[in-house]
Amino acid sequence: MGAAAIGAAAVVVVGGVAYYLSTQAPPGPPPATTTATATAPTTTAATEVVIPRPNPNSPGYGLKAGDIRSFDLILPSAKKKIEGTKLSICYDTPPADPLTIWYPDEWKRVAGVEIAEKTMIPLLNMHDRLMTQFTMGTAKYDLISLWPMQLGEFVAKKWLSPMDDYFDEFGYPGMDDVLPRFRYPFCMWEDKTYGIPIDGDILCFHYRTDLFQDEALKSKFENKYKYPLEPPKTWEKAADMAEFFSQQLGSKGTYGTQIFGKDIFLWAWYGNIYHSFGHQWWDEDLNPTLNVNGDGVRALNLLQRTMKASPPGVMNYSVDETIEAFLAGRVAFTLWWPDLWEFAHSTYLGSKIIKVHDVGQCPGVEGREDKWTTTSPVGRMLVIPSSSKRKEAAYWVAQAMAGQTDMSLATVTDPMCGLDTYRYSHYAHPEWFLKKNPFRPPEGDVEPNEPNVDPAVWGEEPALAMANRYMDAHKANVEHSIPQPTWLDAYGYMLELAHQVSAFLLGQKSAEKALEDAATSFKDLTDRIGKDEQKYVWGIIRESYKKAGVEF
Amino acid sequence: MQARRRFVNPVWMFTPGFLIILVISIVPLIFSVYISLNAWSLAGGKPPELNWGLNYVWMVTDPRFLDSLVRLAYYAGVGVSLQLILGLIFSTAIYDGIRSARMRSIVLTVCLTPMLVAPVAAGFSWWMMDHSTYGVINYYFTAVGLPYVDWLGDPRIALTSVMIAEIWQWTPFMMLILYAGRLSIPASLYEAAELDGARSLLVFRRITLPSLKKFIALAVLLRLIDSYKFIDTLFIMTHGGPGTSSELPTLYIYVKAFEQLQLGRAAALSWAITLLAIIAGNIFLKMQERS
Repeated sequence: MGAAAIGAAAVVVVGGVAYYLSTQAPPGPPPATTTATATAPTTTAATEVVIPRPNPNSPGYGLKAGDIRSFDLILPSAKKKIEGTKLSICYDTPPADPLTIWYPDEWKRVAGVEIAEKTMIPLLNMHDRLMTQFTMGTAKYDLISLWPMQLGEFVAKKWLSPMDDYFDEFGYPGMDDVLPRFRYPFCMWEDKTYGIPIDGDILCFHYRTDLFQDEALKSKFENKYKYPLEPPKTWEKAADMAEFFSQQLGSKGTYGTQIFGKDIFLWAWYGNIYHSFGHQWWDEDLNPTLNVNGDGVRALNLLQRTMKASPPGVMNYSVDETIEAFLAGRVAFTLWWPDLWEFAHSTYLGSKIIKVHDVGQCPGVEGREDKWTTTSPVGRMLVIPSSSKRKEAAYWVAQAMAGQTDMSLATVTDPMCGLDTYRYSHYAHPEWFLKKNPFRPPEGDVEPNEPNVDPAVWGEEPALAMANRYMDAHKANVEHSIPQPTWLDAYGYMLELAHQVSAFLLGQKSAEKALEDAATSFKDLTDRIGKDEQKYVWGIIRESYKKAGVEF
Repeated sequence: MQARRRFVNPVWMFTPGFLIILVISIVPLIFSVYISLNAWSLAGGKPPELNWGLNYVWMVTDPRFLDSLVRLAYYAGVGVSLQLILGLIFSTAIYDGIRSARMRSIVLTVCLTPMLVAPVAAGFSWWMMDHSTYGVINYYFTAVGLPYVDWLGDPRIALTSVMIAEIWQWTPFMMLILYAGRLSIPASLYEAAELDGARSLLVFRRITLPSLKKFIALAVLLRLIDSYKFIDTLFIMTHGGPGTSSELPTLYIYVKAFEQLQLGRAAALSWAITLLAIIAGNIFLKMQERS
């Protein structure tokens, strides 16, 4: 018995030591010779390198918004520190290919950093899985692709590590190149940088150009509604057009529009309309403002009109089904994330509307056409958990992929990943939509490496014009976007709102009751979290809105 | 000395199993009672705070929970009843309709295959078949002139669609138990009835059904218990939607615990469902004992 116990203890100790040693980076190779730069870092003791702040030698230093630099720049001192590191990453579906298939070989080549453990979580489980893992302390990741909606929660619980200290040695991520609507509300918290965005999600208005240009349809519409059939500038007109298209084409399987009624995202479709009336979700004192002057009811009624002009079963559509409905030509127009424009060009993805679709600004509401808004659900940014023991290497990978680099341009212009524009440098270089992703490996990936808008198919100038138009639409929508909530338990609030909106749309309660119940749920959640804590967080967020230029 | 050794050995043999059950069952159960008495949300930074049963007060006034109970009553009542009726019909048809014992065995085995499918796989298959655009059920419906049905998108029938999938999968279970019960009925009873000239319907009512009472009770009880904890196929097919029109208490508990991260309320809901199941099971068994 005693011998067995001693033996067992010995196994545990030896196993534990072996495990600990296996997770440590091996000593790096001798420093390589590098190109001399203007001011080299000074050295003090034998191996210590003192990094000046700001460091003019650090990749990305001094570059302005719109500039590009190459991802494969790394200071020798930085490489020495991180070479041989193996990282554990966590992500959901869209960033999966870039993080695990396309770029790891390049990162290994340049910096010697390897992606060793990959954990993919389904899109709709990101929130609950990460929350439970971090609460239990079982999240052993070095880099996570996080939804901004979770920023406030994660920062408040000190689960994230700020990145600013790594800029000088491991590269400046060009935060001034990040569009303000993503930079301030999503990546920064009390002037510290917690994330580098990889996906600039906002809802855009996608539509079938052939249907809006069909002379017969135009004539019928104008006779009935007394105004022209064109991409709508208000939701009232959008609802008219949705109903019209469904009446005219429903028997052929084409409907006016669709909404994404499943799960949490309904908050964004509803918010797209409600924010256009000029309202937020609550005021400075956290009193819910979900039905100011009856505008909430108006917004719900407009949403319901569009829902009724949607294909059957739309309230149960998944992400893929909603995408597929547009690509198959079964809806005349839809709100969706920007990448739908990219998917619609793809024969690989089976698009049947390759030449007959376009993207534009979202509608507003009557009387406020110039103050139209859109919402920015989902979005992604690379963050470093505070528990990571490999923060430097994780940061280098994050800034290589998503910093002010050619790699971020290649990613957002690649039609096979669904990550969207988020930088001024992306707007400044639409020609990248016309070329293949130069950083994808030549083999080992089942998805084709093809240009977003192939100049061989469209012609060089038309293709560039299309890319420019896409960027113009994206830019317009970003400038009118209302950032997604990032306060404590923002996910929980929006889930409650989505639930109540859904109950109204399905006829289970009136619009007034649905909004009252949503307000009650908001108050209940605030009480459970703590009003003072939430108010403090809301104050930080309001400051970030000011910096981002968000107005109500 | 011999007596002491006989006393010591069983305790030693019992202890490891007891410790395991204690650690993975009893302690978590007691802890879950404690959680249910706390206001505890993983969101925000507040630690758990004893609220002495306010979660239970919330629960009995929560319309979403009460609606889910009504749906459970529908799902369990109608679903299990249909499984029983179909199971009875199939088991009787196989036993009485197929003369060859070998053939009966083969047919029975084939009929049991839905039970062998993992519930998640069954859920995906039915989801695809019920799909509003590409589902084969609507394809054949419309091909023969029947109306199109939005199986999973219509809030009025979404739960029924899930129930149909469950009936498909678990009627064989009913059938198996009732078939076993049918095997245990003495053949002499049927011979006597035949001699008396009783018709098959009378024989079924007066001999088969009464003899199968205990088996019916067992099968129904087991399926009712399964209904209380049913979540897998529901999660895959509708996730409680559209909206919450097909949400059952188990799924609501999942939403409360893992999506809304409100552990206190989720624990209270779990205990409520458990107690309901215990009470319902007890009532059912007492009714059986009396009859």
